[in-house]
Amino acid sequence: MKRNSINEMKLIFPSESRNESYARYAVTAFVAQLDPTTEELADIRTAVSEAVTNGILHGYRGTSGKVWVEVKLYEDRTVRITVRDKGCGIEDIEKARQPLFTGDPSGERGGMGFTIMESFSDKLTVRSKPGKGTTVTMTKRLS
Amino acid sequence: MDGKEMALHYGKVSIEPDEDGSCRFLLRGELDHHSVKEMREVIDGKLIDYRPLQVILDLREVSFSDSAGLGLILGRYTRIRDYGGTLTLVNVSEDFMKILRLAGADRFLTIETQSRKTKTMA
Repeated sequence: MKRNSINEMKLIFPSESRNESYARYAVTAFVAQLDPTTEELADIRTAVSEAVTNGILHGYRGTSGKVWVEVKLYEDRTVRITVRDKGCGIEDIEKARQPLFTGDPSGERGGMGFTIMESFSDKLTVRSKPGKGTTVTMTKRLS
Repeated sequence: MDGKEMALHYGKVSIEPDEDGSCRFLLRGELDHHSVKEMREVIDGKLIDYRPLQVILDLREVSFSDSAGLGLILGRYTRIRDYGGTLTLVNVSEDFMKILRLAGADRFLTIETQSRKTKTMA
């Protein structure tokens, strides 16, 4: 059954790396109304940063596009965050979700993005189609 | 080696040489994909020029880090190890420790989480 959120927000911004900071602070500022713990807020900030960076860096691979972020808050203190890009998509989602897998040939990124998103939230869903883009949904129940 | 602070577009890096040949970098601000590029260039420039045998990365003024910060640390660790030096992380926050543990990096990195007085403090 589809649940109704008690509050929600949407952000749309260009796929520029300087917007990573804006996105994570906008999301945590919105989630703050549920009075989360400092640790919960830090987890959300980091997970959002990973998801948005993935969209900008791997989704668009230096080309310009838009990133969509949607946050929904529910009565049972569940937070659902969706980050979407219309970039190149992921060929093999299972492989991309493995710890230490990296799409960056320079080796300067740890390949921990999905691992962090997964462990800093309660549930992570990744939907992607090559050539169409990627949608990452993270759900976290606050204490 | 200069002891001046280098202000970057996002975040800052201070560099302080010590009498014993060690080199301390004080990182400031947020470590994300956007900000680490400049920090990496500054640190690597000094590593190439001076090859300090003991490198300390002081994270006391890092307010946020995601896996880009992890990448910055691991990349420098590899580079320093390859020329025979050692890397120590000091003043690591509990938030960043979670990422280091998740990656298993706490098993091979030298990490001091306790705050301590240093010469680089302004």
